[in-house]
Amino acid sequence: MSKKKRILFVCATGIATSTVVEEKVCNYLRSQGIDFEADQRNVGSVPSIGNDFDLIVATTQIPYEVNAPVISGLSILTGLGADETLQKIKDILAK
Amino acid sequence: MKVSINAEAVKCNLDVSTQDELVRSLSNSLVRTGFVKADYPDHVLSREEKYPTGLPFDGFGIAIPHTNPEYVHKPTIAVATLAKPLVFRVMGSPNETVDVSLVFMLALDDGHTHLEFLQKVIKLAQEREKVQQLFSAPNDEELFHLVSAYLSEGAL
Repeated sequence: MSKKKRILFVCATGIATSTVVEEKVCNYLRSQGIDFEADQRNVGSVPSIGNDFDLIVATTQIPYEVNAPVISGLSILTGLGADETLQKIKDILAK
Repeated sequence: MKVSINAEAVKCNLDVSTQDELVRSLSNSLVRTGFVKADYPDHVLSREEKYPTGLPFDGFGIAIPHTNPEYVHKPTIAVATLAKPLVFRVMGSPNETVDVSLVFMLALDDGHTHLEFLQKVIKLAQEREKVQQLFSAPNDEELFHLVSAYLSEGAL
């Protein structure tokens, strides 16, 4: 029985860059046939909910300790190195 | 979706030496024409300090300074190509810096429109030839036309 992976998208305000990154990542994961759930918040929410997720993709620094791996979403915003980042995300979720 | 860019807030080869000068120069007409509140520039600057918006692309840097919706009356963007690159810290990696020569200052309100703005701006920045066109614009008007055209193109 596989549990659906949960991804948290984080940016400073929770509405701007995190949404752009979320769309791109979610489209990619869907195209790869990966089952997941996504949520999107501002960085201030991380301490209270960060540990409920399997992966955090952030376009801001996260100055908190979390158990989940944190990946920078910057490359997805700029396109530079986006492919590698998307692959990394896929690999983490496959664990 | 109609992108409302204030023609007076599009500056070609803007010659500024600090982020303060840059933000105030671009905010002037936005404040005057009622798109943003008078303290919008202060909040953009303090947000930039805390959450930098420099983005390194292929061979150039852009910045997308902005602030929270409560300082915005009507959503719009101000655009500038800079006469000389200005140092910004990189989004999400504030110990890194990038030389920025293209700035999109966003006045976002809370609606869904601002996300389309942002996506279009990001997409535009990823297209090298279009960015080169922006850098080559000879004057404010030409830059305004180019930006308006690029940002209202097609679906994402």
